Amino acid sequence: MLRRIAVALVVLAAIGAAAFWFLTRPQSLSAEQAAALGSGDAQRGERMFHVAGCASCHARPKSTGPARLELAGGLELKTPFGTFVAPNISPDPNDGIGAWRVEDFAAAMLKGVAPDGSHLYPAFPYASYARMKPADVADLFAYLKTLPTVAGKAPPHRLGFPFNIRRGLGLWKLLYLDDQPVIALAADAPAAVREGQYLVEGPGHCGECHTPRDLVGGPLTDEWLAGAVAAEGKGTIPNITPGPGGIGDWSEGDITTALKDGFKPDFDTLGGSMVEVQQSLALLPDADRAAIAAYLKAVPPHENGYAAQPAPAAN
Amino acid sequence: MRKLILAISTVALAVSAAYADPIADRKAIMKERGGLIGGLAKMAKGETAFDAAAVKTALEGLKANEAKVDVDALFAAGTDKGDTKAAPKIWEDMNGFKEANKKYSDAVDAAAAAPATDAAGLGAQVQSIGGACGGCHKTFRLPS
Repeated sequence: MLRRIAVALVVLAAIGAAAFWFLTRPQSLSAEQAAALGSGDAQRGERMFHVAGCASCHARPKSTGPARLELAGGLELKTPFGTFVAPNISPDPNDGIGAWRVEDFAAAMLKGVAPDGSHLYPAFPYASYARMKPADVADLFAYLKTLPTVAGKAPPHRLGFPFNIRRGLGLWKLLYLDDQPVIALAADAPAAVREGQYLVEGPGHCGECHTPRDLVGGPLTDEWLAGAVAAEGKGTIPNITPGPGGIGDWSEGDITTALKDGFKPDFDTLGGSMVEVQQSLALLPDADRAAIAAYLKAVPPHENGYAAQPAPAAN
Repeated sequence: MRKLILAISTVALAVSAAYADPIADRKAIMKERGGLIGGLAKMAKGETAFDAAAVKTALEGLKANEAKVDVDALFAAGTDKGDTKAAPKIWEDMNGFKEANKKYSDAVDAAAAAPATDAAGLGAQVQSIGGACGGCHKTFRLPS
């Protein structure tokens, strides 16, 4: 009897391990996605570079001016899961992504998979980039290739168990990696709202900070853009829906002004990491900021996605 | 001796009461600043008519506003707690914070010394001042 149970347990464990191995295997590009990459246009790619704000994480920390295009990496993101370090994505063939093929780059952006077939961590926001058009990804790659080559690898991530096991990310992807739009827009939604949806939900990856996450870091999409506790733990990221605490009283013009000049309607300025995001979005054509504004006015209203601030301590 | 200590404590309390609420003071100064810059920005954009006298008044208002800032008092130790978006970084890097504050006051002083005479010139001055606002808020204020 005991022996039978033992055998059954071993068999079950083996099945479990096999199922884990099967479910968590990194997926590569679909044939359709690979076919839709096209030849890549660096000029168009520059726009994607600014929408996605690549330099915010991948430029050398604290660099300014033209040095923002030297994508040496090194920025640290200190999160509850550990410290992530942005890698070198300059065209250096050894330390950056100079030896990558466009298919490798697209697999990273759309599937969160590295050229060696391992899972990338979603601190690199592929959960949003998965919604990008393959042609835009190829354009971005062509642009990145034109940037300065920087030697030197950034240090590795510093993560504790179990987050240091990359294979486990396969399960995370099963739960959260989805290339479909988050918000179901009305069939007659204007073109600007649709373009804004693409920019915000895809390359702009606004939801990565502005949407609250569950315990394993998955986005709570039924509170889309409702604001969240900052991933780095200090402060909160604002609610940008039209709900209470959000920006319902901002006009589309107020939103485009904030994104272009950094001023809120009361002439306070944007703060924290949003300053760099804004400086990047300011480089886009007016139509892109207008599209983002149109979409933000169209998303479902939510209450703040974070708990109320603790009352100021009585002195 | 005990009386002396008591007396000193009382005086200390009274002094700290004079700076009762640096957080509220900070907010009031920033709010006034935003209002003044807002008036200038609207003129620079042509939303309101350009008015050289009003520009001069607003820039002098910004100078007076800036003069109220005593970083050591307004951002004294312990005032990182409470209803504030001031980032802990201020107290970790007080020199850097003061430097960022000086960049702002330099931009205001430069504009006030030679107030713009047309909307385009005012636009450049607003951008220079606004850049200093954002430059400091990027590092020394929590996300907002």
